Amino acid sequence: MASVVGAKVLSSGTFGNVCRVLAVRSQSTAAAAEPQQVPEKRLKKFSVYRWDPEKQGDKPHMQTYEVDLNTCGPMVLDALLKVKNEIDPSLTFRRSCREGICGSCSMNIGGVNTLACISKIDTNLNKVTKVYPLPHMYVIKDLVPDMNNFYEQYRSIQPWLQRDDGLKPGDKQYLQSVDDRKKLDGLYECILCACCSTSCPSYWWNGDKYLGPAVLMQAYRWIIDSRDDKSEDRLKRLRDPFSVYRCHTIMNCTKTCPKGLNPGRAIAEVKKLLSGIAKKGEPGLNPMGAN
Amino acid sequence: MAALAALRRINRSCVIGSRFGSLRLNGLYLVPSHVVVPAATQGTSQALVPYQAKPFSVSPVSHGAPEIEQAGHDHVLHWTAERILSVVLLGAIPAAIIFPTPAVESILALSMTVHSHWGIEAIVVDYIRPSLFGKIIPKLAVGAVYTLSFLTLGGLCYFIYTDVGIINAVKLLWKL
Repeated sequence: MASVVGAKVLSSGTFGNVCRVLAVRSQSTAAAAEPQQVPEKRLKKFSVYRWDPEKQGDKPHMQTYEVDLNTCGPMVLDALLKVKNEIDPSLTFRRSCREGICGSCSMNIGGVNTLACISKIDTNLNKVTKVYPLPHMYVIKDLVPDMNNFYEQYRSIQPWLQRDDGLKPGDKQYLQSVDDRKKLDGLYECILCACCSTSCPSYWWNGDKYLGPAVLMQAYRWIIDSRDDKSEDRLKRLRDPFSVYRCHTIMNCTKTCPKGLNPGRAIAEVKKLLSGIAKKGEPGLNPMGAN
Repeated sequence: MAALAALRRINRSCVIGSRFGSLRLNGLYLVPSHVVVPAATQGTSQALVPYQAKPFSVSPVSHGAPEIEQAGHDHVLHWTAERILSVVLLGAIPAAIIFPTPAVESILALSMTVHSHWGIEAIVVDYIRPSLFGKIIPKLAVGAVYTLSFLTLGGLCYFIYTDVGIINAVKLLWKL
């Protein structure tokens, strides 16, 4: 601090300026000593979907909360946590990592499926931000949807490495060429938040039989893995009219993905592989090492 | 030594048990025990079996995709045919405009009817679905689409061979 004042004294040149600088400094310290003026509250309204199955006769309804953005973090999840901590502890939602890597806090914010933790609060105070659970899902409570069907579908595509060599996991380190590894980029980053699947009209209407973009992208991820031997079997399980072919390239999935992935393209690639237009191709490097 | 091993086994199952507990709290689906439980804990006494979370669900859960046999048919050829037909239409429409003869127009009528038929059929299958309408109505609806398509094709062929033909009719309409 002393060096700053010294610099000001040196640059000011005359004694009068020095006095002025010192006067300004003393003024500002006086102002700091007084109780700080409270900035005006920036109250933002959040309209949140509420439904409590344990309350007799409770119907789904919207409840509006006011949050002061001056004392709140920048993301919608921060606002929801503030509401839960300070206004209404009964507000129920899923959250975990608060940095967009766990996929827990997926919900419909302002009409778009996204992760609450990485979507910024719209600072326009005149607009009410509407928060709904993921669309067309069975709701357990408030913003918590039932993900069982989604996870069961994920299980059905057998999302693990399958090989014919009969080795046990850990027996052998499988090799993969750099190019083959690159094919998995844009696929493995999926965090299964279900934003894409629940934005897809086909999944809304036929979610019981259509696997949905998130699961199909993971199906593709395992089909094209150069180390996996079962791509034929994997594709065979997708040949019926519903698993894949309810996709009509609406592309809501790609538009909404909070991780910026492209499930629509992955489904198109699955269709190409199924029809035989495209082939998986031989691995660039023998996974077992010796050629 | 045996006691120590047993103790370790209990310890391990406890860890799994607590993991199950947290899984259940997150509303996750039950993981079948035979997949997750380590071989060491199988065949031990009842007390050592890890705590199993009961599946909690408020929605119907489908166990994966229906087998092709169940679903009725293999859809792959259908998809390929749709793509081929789209390419055919790219050629059939200009061909009919250049040569508006009955033979070329019949090809146009057939490909357009099949193209729209598959489109409408997909919409009907999507929206008039068994989970809402039961078993009979969806089948009737698909039947209605077939009827409509055959009537369309018949009508277009009749128009081609007894009147001015599709392309000339469009040209006449355009003059109005």
